[in-house]
Amino acid sequence: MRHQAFRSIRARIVPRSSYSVLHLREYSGNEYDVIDKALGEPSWSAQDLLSSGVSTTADEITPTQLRKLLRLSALPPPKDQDEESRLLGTLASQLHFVQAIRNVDTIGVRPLRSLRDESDEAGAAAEITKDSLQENFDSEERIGKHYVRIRRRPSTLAETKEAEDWDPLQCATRKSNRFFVVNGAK
Amino acid sequence: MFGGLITPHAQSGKLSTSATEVEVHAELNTAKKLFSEAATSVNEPPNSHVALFDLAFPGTQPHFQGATLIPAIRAAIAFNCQIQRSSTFDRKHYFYQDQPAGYQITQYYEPFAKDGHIVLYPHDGIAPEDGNSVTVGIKQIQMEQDTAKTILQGNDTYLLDFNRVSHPLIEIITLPQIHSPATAAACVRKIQSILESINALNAGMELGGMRADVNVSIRKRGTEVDSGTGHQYHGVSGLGQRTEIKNLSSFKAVEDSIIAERNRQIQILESGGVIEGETRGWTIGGTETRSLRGKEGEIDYRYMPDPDIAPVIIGEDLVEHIHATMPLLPDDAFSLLTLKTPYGLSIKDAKTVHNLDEGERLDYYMEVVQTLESELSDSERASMPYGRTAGNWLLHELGGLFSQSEEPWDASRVRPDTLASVILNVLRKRVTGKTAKQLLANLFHGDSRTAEEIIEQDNLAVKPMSDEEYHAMVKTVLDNNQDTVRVILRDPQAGKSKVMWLVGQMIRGAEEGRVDAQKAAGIVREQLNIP
Repeated sequence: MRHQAFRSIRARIVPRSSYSVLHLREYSGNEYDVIDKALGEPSWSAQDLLSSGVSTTADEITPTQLRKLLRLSALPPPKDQDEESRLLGTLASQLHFVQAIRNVDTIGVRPLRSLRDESDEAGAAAEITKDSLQENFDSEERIGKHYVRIRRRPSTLAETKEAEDWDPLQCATRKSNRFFVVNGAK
Repeated sequence: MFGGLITPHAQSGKLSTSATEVEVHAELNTAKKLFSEAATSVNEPPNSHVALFDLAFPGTQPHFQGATLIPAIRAAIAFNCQIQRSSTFDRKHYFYQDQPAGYQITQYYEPFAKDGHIVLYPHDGIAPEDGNSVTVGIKQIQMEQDTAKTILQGNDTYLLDFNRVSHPLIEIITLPQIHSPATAAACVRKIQSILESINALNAGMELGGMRADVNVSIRKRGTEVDSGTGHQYHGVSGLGQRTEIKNLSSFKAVEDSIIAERNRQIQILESGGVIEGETRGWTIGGTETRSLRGKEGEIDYRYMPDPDIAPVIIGEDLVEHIHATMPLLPDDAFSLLTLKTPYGLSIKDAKTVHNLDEGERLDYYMEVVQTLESELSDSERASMPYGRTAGNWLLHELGGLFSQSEEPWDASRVRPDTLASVILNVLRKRVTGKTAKQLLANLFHGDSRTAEEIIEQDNLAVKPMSDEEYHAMVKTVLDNNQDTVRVILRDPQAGKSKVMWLVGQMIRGAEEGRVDAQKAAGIVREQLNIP
């Protein structure tokens, strides 16, 4: 069952040259095993992020630091010792989480920008070509007999495809004639 | 050392030179905005060309408008850049009312064009100390969104027009390789001129379609560029701490603000101070830059790749097509007009004819030259500077008539073949220069006859003198100037200039244009029997 799922994933991901896949393929010619291995043995648990008992490299937060942070955040100081301990505990667990994320080694890893098809085929399909812009080239004129200049025909009104068929000013809380109005002290 | 503006450090001359890089933001001439179907506009009613995305309505998505690449790629080619097949957009975060999304979409990490250059020459107005040319590297050109137009009303009320928001811009970033304020201004001026020549610019700096930021630093003497020491910007090391002057809106402001900032930095350094990295501003007509925000106030733009915009993939065929159909760039036009036969214009005239009337004057000029070329014989073409003569007549005579009458240029007012016909008669000495100017004025003011008809009917042609007339005229001149004749006869060799003086008397005494100096001189020598 699991292999079947992998097969369909594999059909999509193996042909492209994403280097995370290449990276795996360096270790073994058998891609199923590699994928099984990568996904079969968890290298961490979400529990790790929550556990307050696990040691953290984050520095201890002192009550003075807590009060300073609260003040900077315009939040009220703790009412009593109990609340202070509770806040310190919460803050420690948040810092534990942040520290765990910071500990992940990301050197050489390309940041994920978004999930999209990065295959060569998809790249080719998205390519902006001369043909795809032919209409725009046609709307230009070349003027002059000897010194030929290009002019985008100013009379060519852009086909705005209903993008402008609304009145932006209807959503203005303050307006003056056709302007939006905002206050901004200098 | 600083053009007399600054007293150099008396003892050691520690401070050497300034390094400037410019960042030019130029509004692209496109039909649509960068990420929506809304139309671009210049003088339309406020908020009449705005798509939902332009106002950052939740749930709206950017749609990159491929056609905005056309002027952008032309610019990248004109500035000798490497065009990247794949480029991406990033978000530059800041909170201000002119940017509804809270971020500007720009190309920070992977711009579409890199590693170009622009060459500046004396005719571009570079500083004399820069010699015959300066090559300024262009680090990158990136596409980005413009902001809304903001009008301050009273003290704290702003009127906002979102027509301009998301108008496509390109930002051209040079390397810090400019060492004089005049050259920095020349660079910005030339960037505008190149963008105009390829129809990529929506409006020039004078109309707010282009703005510039400059980064200025002072380098200490003994610290060489690329020495690996000092500050490093865009891979160029050995530089001093720089400051940025933002939002300059004229060429003069570029030059003046750099002079002021350079002077300020030198004064601080000479008095033992330290330059703070900061953003400064400039007021037109001012004498000094002012601090806008110091280092601690610098905005962290939190650049991040925009997950909603797919990489822009530029097809090779698109670049090839644009490359193959590029218009003539200004420097290529200047080379053609100054160096190539038959044009031979001075660089000043070449620039004038190129820059006037959006290229119409140059096209007209080339048509006049071509007409003359087809009318003249081989030997006439070889001996007559008709390209240069045509330039003079177009710029000074015809141009003078347009400026006297305070009317705009109109190529049909005196057609190219008509001007060519006037020039042809001058070159062939059929009419005098003076008569030809009058003839051109008549044509300019609406005489509907051809130049030939006017010459014929108004009897304007120079009537060549017969041999008898020449002989009679020479005899009269010799009789009236016997002292001179005696001087010539005593020493014919030394008397050569006296012969020409006698010819001058003849020319002055005759109807304009009738006396051919060479022929007259020959007859004088013949009658005096000297070689």
